[in-house]
Amino acid sequence: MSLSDPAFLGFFAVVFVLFYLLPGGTSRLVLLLSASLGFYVKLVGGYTAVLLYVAAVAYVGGSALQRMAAGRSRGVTFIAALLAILAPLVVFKYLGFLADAAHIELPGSLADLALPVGLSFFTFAATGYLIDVNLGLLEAERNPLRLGLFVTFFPLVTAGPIERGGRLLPQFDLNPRMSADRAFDGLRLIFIGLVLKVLFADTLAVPSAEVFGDPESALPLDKLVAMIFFAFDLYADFAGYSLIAIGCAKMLGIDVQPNFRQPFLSQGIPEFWRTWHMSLSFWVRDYLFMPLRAKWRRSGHRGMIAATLISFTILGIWHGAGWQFVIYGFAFGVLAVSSLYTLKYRDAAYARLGVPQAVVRVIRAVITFFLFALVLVLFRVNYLGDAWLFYRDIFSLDLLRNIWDGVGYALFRLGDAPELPIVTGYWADWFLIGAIVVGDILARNGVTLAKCGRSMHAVAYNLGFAAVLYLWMSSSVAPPFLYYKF
Amino acid sequence: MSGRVAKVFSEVLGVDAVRITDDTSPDNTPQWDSMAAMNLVVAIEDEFDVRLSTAEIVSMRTVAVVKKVLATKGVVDA
Repeated sequence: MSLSDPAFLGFFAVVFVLFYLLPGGTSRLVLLLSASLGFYVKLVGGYTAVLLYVAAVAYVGGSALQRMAAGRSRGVTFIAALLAILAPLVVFKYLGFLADAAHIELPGSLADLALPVGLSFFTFAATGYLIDVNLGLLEAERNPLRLGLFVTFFPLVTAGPIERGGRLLPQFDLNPRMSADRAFDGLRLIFIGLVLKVLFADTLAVPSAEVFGDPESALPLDKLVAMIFFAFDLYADFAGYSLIAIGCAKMLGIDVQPNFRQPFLSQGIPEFWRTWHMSLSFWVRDYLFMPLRAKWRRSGHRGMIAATLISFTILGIWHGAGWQFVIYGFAFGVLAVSSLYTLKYRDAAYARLGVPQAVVRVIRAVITFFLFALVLVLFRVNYLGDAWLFYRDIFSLDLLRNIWDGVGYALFRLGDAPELPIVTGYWADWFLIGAIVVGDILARNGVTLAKCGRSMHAVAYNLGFAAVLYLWMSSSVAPPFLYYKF
Repeated sequence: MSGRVAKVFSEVLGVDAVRITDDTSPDNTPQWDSMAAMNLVVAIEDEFDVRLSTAEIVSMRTVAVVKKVLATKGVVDA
C-alpha cells in the first residue's frame, strides 16, 4: 500500500476522522501508534519486528544515556546502542554486498533476507535521536508510546522525511483541535503530491525505464533524453511522496520539515544538496560532516575536503549496497569540493566577460542540473557497467551525429529516420518537464497555489483531480515510489 | 549585541554586530553555513583561549548556546 494508492487515502481518511473524534492525549497516541503498526504490518508482515526492535533500542539506549553522567561508561553505552540500532541496517542492506566484496558465500537464510521497507529512513531517524540525547541536545523520551510513534509514524515510516526527535516529539501531545485551514493546507499538499506522483512521475518513468532497461540498444541521443527524463521522474516521484507524507502529518496537527525546495534552480552542487532530499542531507551534515569538520577544524583545506568526501560517500552508500552507490556519493563529494573552491574564479570569469547576472543564474542552474543528472545515472542503472555505456555514448561524437541526422530528417527529410524511439515517441513529456520548471520558478518567486485566488484553486484542483483519477483508473498496478526500496 | 562573542561572530560572518543576538543561528543567518561554522569555532577558541570538544561544537547551534558553553569553561566576559 503506497501513499499514492486510493487504499492508503481511504485508510488515512478513517484515521483522520477517528483522530479528531477522540479526546487529545493518550487515546490519540494509541490510535496513531496502532495505525502506524497496522500500516507497516500490511506492508511487510513479519519484518515489522525490525521496526519494533529499532524503536526499542532507541528507547532503552536513550533512557540509559539520560541516567548516566558523562564518562567512559556513558561512551561505551552510546557506542553499544549505536551498534545495536545500526545492526539491522547492516544485516538486511549491506551484508550481501560486504560478503561479495570479501568473496564469502552467505548461507541461504541470510542471503534471502528481504529489505524491510523504509529501514534506512527509520534507522536514521532513531540514530539521530540517540545522538541528540548523547550530546545533551535532547532529553530522552520517557513515554515508550511517544518514542514508538516517533520511529513508526505511518506517513514517514516508508520514505521519510527523516525527522528529528527534537522537532517531532514535542508535537506528540496531540491536542490540536480540528482546524479547517490546517486540514485544507494538508489536503493541498496531498493533492499536489498526488499530481506530481501519478501524473508527472509515473508518466516520465516509462521512457527512462525503456532505455535504462536495455541501454545497449539505445542510441546516444535517446540515452541523453532518458537521463534527463529520469532526473525529473525521480524529483516528481520523491517530492510528490514527500508532499503527501507532510500533508497527512499536517492534517493530524504535526508539522514535518520540507524535503525539497526547487532543487533544479540551484546554483551549484552544494546548494543542490541543501534543496534536494533535505532531511537526509541535513542529517548527514549535522551528524557526520559537522563532527568530522570539528575534529579536523585546524587542518585547513585538507580537513574540509576530507570531511566533505567522506560525508558524501556515506550519503551515497546510504542509498544502496553496491559500488555504484559508493561512486555516486564520492562523485558528489568531488563535485561539491570543486564547486566550493572554484566559485570565486568562476565569478571572476563571468564578471570579466560581462555576462548579465540573470544569464549567469540560468547557466549555473543548467550546469548544476546536468552534473546531477549525469551522476544520477549511477543511481538508476541496474549494473555499474551500464553507466559506462551511458557516459561513453553521451560524450561521444555519435550524439552530435544523432542530433544532426534527426534535425535533417525532421526538417528536410534527408536520409533515413534515425532510430530514436524515446525522442520521437515521448516528445509530449517535455511539456511535463516544462511545467515542473515553471512551477519551481514561480514557487521560488513566491507564487504558489496556496496564494492563488479561489477560482484558480478550483480550476487547478478539478484538472489535477481529473488527471489523477483517470490515471488511477487506467493503471492496473500503480508503480511504487522509487525511494521505497531504501 | 556587544561583547567579544558578538565581535567574533561579526568578523567571521561579515554581519553587523548589532544584528547578532542570542537567537542568531544557522537557520536565520545565511552567512552561518557549514564552512563559516568551523571558522567561527577556531576564532572562538583563539579569542577565548579555550579548547572545545566535538560534542560542544556540534551543540553550538545558537549564539546563546555558544555563550553557555563558554560559561562552563570559566569565560565570564563573553
